Amino acid sequence: MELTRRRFIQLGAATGAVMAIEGPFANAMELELGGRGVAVDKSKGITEKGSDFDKVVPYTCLVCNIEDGGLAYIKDGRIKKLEGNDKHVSTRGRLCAKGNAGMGHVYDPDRILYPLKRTGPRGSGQYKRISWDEAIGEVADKLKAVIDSGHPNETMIHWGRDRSGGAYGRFMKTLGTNTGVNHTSTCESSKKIGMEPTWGPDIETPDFANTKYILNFGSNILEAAYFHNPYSQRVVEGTVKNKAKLVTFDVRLSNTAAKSDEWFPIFPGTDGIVALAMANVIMSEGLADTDYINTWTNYSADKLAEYLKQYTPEMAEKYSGVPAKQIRRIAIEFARTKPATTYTYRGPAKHLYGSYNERSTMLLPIITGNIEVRGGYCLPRGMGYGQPANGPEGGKEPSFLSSPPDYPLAGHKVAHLVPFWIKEGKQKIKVLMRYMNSAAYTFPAASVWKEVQMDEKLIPFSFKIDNQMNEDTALFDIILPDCSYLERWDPESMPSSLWPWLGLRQPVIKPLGEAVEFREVLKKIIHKIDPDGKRGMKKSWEFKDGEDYLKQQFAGVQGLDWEEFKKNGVWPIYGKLDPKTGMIVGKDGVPIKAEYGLPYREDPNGKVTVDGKKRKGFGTGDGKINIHVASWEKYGFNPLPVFKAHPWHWNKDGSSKLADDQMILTTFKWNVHTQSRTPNVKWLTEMVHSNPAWLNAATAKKIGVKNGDLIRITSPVGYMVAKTRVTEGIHPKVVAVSNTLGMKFGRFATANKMSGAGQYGAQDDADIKNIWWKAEGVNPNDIIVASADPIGGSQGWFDTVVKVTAAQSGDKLGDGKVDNAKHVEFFKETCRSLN
Amino acid sequence: MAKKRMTMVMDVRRCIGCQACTVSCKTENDVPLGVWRTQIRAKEVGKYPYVRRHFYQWICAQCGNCVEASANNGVGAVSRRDDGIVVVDYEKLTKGRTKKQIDKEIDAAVEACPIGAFSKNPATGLPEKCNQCAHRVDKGLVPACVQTCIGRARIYGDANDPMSEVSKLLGTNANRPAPPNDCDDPHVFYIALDGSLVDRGALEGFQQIKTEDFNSGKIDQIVNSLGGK
Repeated sequence: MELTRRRFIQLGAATGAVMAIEGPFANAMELELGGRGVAVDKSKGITEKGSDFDKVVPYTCLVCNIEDGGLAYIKDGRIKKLEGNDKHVSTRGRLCAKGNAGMGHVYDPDRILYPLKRTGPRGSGQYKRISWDEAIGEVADKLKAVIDSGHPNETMIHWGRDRSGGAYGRFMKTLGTNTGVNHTSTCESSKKIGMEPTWGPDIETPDFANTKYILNFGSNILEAAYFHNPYSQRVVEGTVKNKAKLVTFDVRLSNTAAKSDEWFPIFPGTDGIVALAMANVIMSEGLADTDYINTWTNYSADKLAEYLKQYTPEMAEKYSGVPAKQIRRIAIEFARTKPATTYTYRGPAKHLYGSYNERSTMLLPIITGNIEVRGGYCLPRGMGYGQPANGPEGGKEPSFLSSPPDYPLAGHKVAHLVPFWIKEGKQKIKVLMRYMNSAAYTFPAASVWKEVQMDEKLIPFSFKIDNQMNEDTALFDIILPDCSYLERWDPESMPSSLWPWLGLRQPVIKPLGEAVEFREVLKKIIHKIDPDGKRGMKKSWEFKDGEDYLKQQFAGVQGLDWEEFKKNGVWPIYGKLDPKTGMIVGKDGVPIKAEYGLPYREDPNGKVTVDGKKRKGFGTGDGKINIHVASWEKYGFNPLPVFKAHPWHWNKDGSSKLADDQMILTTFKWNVHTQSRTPNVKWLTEMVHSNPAWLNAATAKKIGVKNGDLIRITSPVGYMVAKTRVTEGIHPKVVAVSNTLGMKFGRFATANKMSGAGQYGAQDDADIKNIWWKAEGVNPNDIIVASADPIGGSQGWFDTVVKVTAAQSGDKLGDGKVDNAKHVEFFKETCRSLN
Repeated sequence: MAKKRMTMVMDVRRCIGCQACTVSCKTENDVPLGVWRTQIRAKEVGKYPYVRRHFYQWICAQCGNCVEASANNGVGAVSRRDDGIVVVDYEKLTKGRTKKQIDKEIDAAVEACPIGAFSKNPATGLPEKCNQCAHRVDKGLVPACVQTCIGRARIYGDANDPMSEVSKLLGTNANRPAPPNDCDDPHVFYIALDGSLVDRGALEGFQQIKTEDFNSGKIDQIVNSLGGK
């Protein structure tokens, strides 16, 4: 230490001397932050000498759904390195761990690289290689039979992370089916349903970089979710550079909670009542922006204050466990600090009454006047693009599975209840098509999906466009090899910063093996069904290739030059990445500035009149923020933000229903994994390959287990055996198991050191023999009970009541048992009692 | 031109533990499984409900202890470049030498390292460690881990340039050299590693690659961002 300090002082002295000559405003010679690359050429042994790449191709990431801008460095036709696109206003040259590891999806040694046809029983894993012609022929025959039967809805199209920018909708409409099912109810749909009637869009874009206070309810923005990389950059800027305070309410010490100034462990599903109590404190302390409420919302400040009085901090403490005096203190801090913003994600939303929770948290930035101000809670900035001409008309018959009548407000569907409805015979399905989704592995009650997909009476024919063999893919009759996201075209736009942008996903290399871009697969299918165009289907699918299709989509965007767009990967270009600050600067060298107050601008067509002038307003019927949502009242739901206690967790009198040995099971994403696509990416699984159940130290002591011991987690429908991770960083009544591991397919995922070429045409990876870890992943999805928010339709991911006990003799890690009959019973009971 | 002193400043306040650096290092340098040149290590401290998780950006401090050991061994395969980066010359290490001579040189360098920065490359059996992406630095680019760092928790530049960002950070923030304290001449500094976030005691929980592990080829590093085991 002595020595170092002395050296450092010398260094400082030298610094001073130079400064005297150069003057205080001289520029440093900083190294560049990227945009061009060099690589070590390992073919010549370990050497420190670099060699340039052949080319750099911009693309848009799709390991998760954040859509960061990237640059792919290509050498000899192979992707050697990925890095963030320095021209991208949101990404600013950086990628997360998953994005950096993206070529692991391309060079996955177990990737499916040619069409497969099932030869054994479903789920047996027995497949044979077939030609594209044969595969398309069979798929087209089955789809044609459904069309010709006059019941087009019997084709069910189930997508997940569909970023085709409309191609799937076009395909569905061309087939005439309305049975399109997504994955949003397993994601965040109740957040969307809570927000949309309140102010228009389904998400907020907080100005984290310029804020002074961030109140985070259940978002793990520093590890995952919307929009991890761009938002984390701004959260750090806000907290470190701008000295903003970050306060997190979460059941678990996520990395976001860990980097917060204060973490409040909260009982699951009670964020809403804490927010309502805070709103009550703010109103009653006279700290609310009553002018704003009276001008820009559809509810008066006086009425709101009166309404909120029922939500006392003491009542909120009873449910949430957060002390009333802390609720009061944080509420006052939040209201007195300007600008301030809230942020939410799955924490409040993924519960039975997620939509109410979301609306309750949203009250806080509204009543403090932090909406659409610098450093506040801003509207998302998006950019649109068109669809190619000759779009299909679409089917007329409504689909039960796509628009379940019991969930009239669930505009993002209720996908996770679909297998139960299929079992009940609510709608007959003859063909199941799936894309970018592995429901029988990633959905709650995954085992029920598996049962339905295994049943040839319920699903006579199924095909999947995918390139990963996994628990779900292995159930399909035909598998068509999909391109990875680095080998295909997609149009992109995401409100991931305060600057709107359009992004391009384009092939950075030629697709490997026989992989074909899905757009062209869909075209092949339609052309096979309607070869001469007599059915009127072919006209919607007359494009040359993916590029031609996208060119048509972007043709109407004024000012966008296609060749420039391909060269930059993003449009518009707002400025240059400054190596000294990592910020985007304009021509004057000053960081670019965002625009604020969009709804308050004068607009002759505006719906709201303020100060005698017409203003643009919000995307609601009357242009105001709707604290009172009339459409909810119509269906018997409360039109005001309200707290409803979960009937599994609470008695009517507000006392806890949980027995001493009962807890709530929650899930989370490791920061280096996604739900199903990353376990076979070697660099990511090398870092996280073990998936222990987090237990609070006090709880572990009570149960009598130590760190690393096996435990049984028993839900109403089954049990699983997991390893314990004893920690101080979790609520004592919560057990958390990530649902991103546990896959039984793929050599990196399963730590299988057998080297050699893949089973489905992929090349060997020399690193397979270097696998040094044991695969200790487990997956809780089978024992998570399916339930749905009666308003938003969202899965109550974090609601399942479980018992945690020491493992029984003979239990092995990953063991488990599930009873689908109980899943069905529970589903029925749930639907009855909850609606 | 004045001699450069390439320096990495780890601003621990800004590290979110995302491991983007860890992966970008692997892909940039084609680092095989089981070998690490940088990692984010984590440790939880405190009792419920007052708990924190601290991150530590583990990396070769370019302190030169191995350079001295390598020189003392009479081979000098590990050396410090003019700009301060410590590199291994594999030709010098292996050419015309017996296995015993090579092992002796490796042992000298590895044993001198206070932080366990060397890993054994399974393909070559030779040690490797972070060289601050010297091939990038030579072309005017920051190291890959710095390039991708989401929180800008790694800043890289010339500490002999008074106007550089690293000079500014070192001059205006409390900072300390890379732990442990017996690094001879570190070129990696940490802001907020002591006291406010992670103290010396807290770091003892981190698993480091021990010399005997390296020599036995045992790979037992914990990189799970939560210190898994």
